[in-house]
Amino acid sequence: MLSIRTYYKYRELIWSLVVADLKSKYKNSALGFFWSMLDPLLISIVMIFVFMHVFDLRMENYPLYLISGLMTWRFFNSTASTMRVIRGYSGLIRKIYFPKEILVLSACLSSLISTLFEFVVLFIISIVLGGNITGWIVLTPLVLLLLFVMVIGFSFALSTLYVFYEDMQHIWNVVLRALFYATPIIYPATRIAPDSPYYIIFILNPMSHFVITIRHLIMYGDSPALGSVIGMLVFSIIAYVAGFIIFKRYEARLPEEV
Amino acid sequence: MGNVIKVREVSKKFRIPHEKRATLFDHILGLTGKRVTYDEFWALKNISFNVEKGSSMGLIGKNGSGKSTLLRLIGNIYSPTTGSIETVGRIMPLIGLTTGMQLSLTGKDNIFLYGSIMGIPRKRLMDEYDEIVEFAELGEFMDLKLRDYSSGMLARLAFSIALATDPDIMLIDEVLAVGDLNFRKKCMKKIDEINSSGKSILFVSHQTSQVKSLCDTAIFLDSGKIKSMGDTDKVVDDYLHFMALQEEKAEKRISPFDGPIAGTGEIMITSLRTTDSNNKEKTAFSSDEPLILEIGFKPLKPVERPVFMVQVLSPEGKLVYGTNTQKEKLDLGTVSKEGRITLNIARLPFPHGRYTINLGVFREGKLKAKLAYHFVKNAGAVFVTSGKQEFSRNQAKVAVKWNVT
Repeated sequence: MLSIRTYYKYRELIWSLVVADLKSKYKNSALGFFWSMLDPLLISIVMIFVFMHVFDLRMENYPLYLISGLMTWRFFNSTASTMRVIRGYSGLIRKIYFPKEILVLSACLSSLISTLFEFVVLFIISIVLGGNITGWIVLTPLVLLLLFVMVIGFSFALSTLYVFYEDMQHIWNVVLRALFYATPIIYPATRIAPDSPYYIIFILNPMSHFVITIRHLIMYGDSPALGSVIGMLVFSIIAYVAGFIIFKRYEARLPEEV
Repeated sequence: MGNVIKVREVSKKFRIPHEKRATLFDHILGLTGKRVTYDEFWALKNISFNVEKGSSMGLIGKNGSGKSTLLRLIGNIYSPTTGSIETVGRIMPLIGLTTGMQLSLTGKDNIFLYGSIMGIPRKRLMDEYDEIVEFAELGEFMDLKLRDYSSGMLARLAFSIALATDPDIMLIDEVLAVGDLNFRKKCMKKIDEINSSGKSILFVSHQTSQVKSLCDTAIFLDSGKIKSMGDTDKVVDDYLHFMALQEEKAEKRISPFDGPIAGTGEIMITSLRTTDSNNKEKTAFSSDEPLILEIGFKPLKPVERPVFMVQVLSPEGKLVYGTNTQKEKLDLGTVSKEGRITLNIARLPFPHGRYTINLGVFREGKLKAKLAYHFVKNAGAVFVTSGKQEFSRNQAKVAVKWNVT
């Protein structure tokens, strides 16, 4: 069912692929991780400057608000690279049989592991910037796990479509950027009131729920909103099932098309 | 013993779009305009055969005949359009040079990656790691990325990993076409060993000698259909015969007699026909059949006692047979008008392959290319199809007969 048994059977292959991916991502060094963290942190500094000093945005602990949002977004943004995974292993796919969902899962798993490391850094940043760390923080991995399920779902659909349509990557990059601004990452979520015409976008954007929940757990240290929890559950299950169906529909043709 | 591969009426169709419409954007535009149209291409049509446990089967055929597609279908990489394929046991496909190894990873990483695709536990791979590296003879290169490997090194690594996975069925395609001779020999020996230990092998090669030495049975594919199947020797002969006919057709287009003239030109060789004893023109001959060369000539002025010469060269370009009218004591007198001279070679005791023929006409006693009236390199070619390996390629002693008409 939904390939979970396959994942278990091929767990060693998944691990080999994840290790290979992480190795190439961080160029075989701990310093590689440091460099990969530098990008979001520098962007955060620029944005903090722009919003706090240029736009004169007044809100409580904006730096931590922004960084926690960006870090959560980064995980979802990894779909921009996981979507290339089937094409990336075209040589392998054309020459030996194995369940292709392994490739998608391992690419997402590699993203999850990177994210977990990044969240350790985020935890430290939260302490430094005066976030309210409480017992709620233990739920963070659970939320990331749900986000992981959603990322897998998107990756299934995107990596399959990318085999057939070369411009899928450009289209998805544009969609991602639009979603980024639709998610309350750089602006206060309170700006979108329930009576606002944009509120429906806010509700239907899966990432809103994840970003807001993560902030509750790691910054405010209080309970997440029930609506967001339901939103996360519903969107991740829908994304996984829908992505899986699309993938299965075209799976047999993948070796001929890549 | 039972069959480990059962192929039942398998056909495979590929779709080739008329216009390359690989973007979603084009597709959306296409919804308003004309539909995407495809060419259908049947890579394989109605293929049925079995492979018995412990046997080895060769697949031969020209490029694009469907050999690799067939291997991919058996390896479960492609699925058949119609028909069914049943296999028993673990299959290891070795298709092409890199066989799917990741060039951005090191040799070591590839061993573990490939091993785990084949379902070999990591622990076992660790135990066998040294053995794999030793067989590949790549000891000091294991931490090097594959993109820095030579093609021979890639083949060696691919083959060594494949052997370590201990498959029940091996599908081998062109992997043994590269690498140095010693390693190829080592691989062939190893394949033979695996084969005799009860594993089955499906082997694609352009080198019919490899197929012959390795395979019990063979299939000759042409344009996706089985042309010939059964005993390897017979199938290889059918294949070589077929290739000979094809090449014959292709060769008719350019005549070797049209090129620049080598020689002084007082008398010229104008044509060469190769026929059997019934004067039927052909180019594929079995070893024990007579070959008749009919050489046309045309003097520009009367020539005293010219000497005609014939050379037969092996596929490697080595002279395997040569004769001339002087040696056979045939006095042609004064030749003043065009005519033909025939040479009857009683049999062709050579291994199978394509043999080229050089023709020359010389002054009496001066059989040197420089002093020739006319010398035609590659005037024609014949295929020897029986492939009797027991004869040596050294100058063969064959009964010949010259005739002037």
